[in-house]
Amino acid sequence: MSYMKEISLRELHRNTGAWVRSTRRYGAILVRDRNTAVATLTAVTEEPLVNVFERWKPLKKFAALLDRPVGGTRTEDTISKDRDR
Amino acid sequence: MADSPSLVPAYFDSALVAKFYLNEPGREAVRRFASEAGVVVTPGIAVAEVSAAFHRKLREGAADQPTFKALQGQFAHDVTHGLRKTIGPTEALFQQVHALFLRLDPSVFLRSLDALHLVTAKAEHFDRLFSNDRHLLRACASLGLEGIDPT
Repeated sequence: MSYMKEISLRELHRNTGAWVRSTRRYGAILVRDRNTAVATLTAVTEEPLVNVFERWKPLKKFAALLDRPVGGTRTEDTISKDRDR
Repeated sequence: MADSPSLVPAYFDSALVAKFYLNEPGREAVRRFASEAGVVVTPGIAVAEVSAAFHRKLREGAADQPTFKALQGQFAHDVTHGLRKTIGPTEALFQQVHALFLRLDPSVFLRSLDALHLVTAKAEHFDRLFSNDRHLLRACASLGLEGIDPT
């Protein structure tokens, strides 16, 4: 099941400009060639990259709790074991 | 926030995303690295993997209920506000995973979610993937990616 807008390769050939311009509306468009997904058109913006981590701070109500040391299985091991299943 | 045209986005796997929040060894290195990169890209599957990792802490008794809620609350806030750029998963990425396993050398140990991380990084045109999972780091070469552990 796909939640993306889908078009055929033939439709992309017919109306390339219109579909490329409409990627901003859909976010991404999946292109199929005889029912096989072959490509996605993805919207891009020309907005400059911003360092969002430079000023990241935990929310006040969470800050103290997040600073509590957390023991137990290390996160990387937990996630790795999950992937093993 | 100041514009930073020289920023080079970094691809983090779920283990690094979770480490960003948990006060355990390696957190400060991950936070420092994220600040240097400025822009972090993660796969959508990280939301599931990180949430499960936090719950594991609760189940083990390593985090109490308030700490667990704080972790999940902060994570949800950051996801909602786009602290990281989240990619997929999409049907096209799943098909790329399928194609990857079709051609993968029999000697390579690659788990399904590792494969999803690899094809997502590749689809986003990264040539490096940051993780502290040894299996994922080892598998990077199978897609021509450089795996780096920043912790």
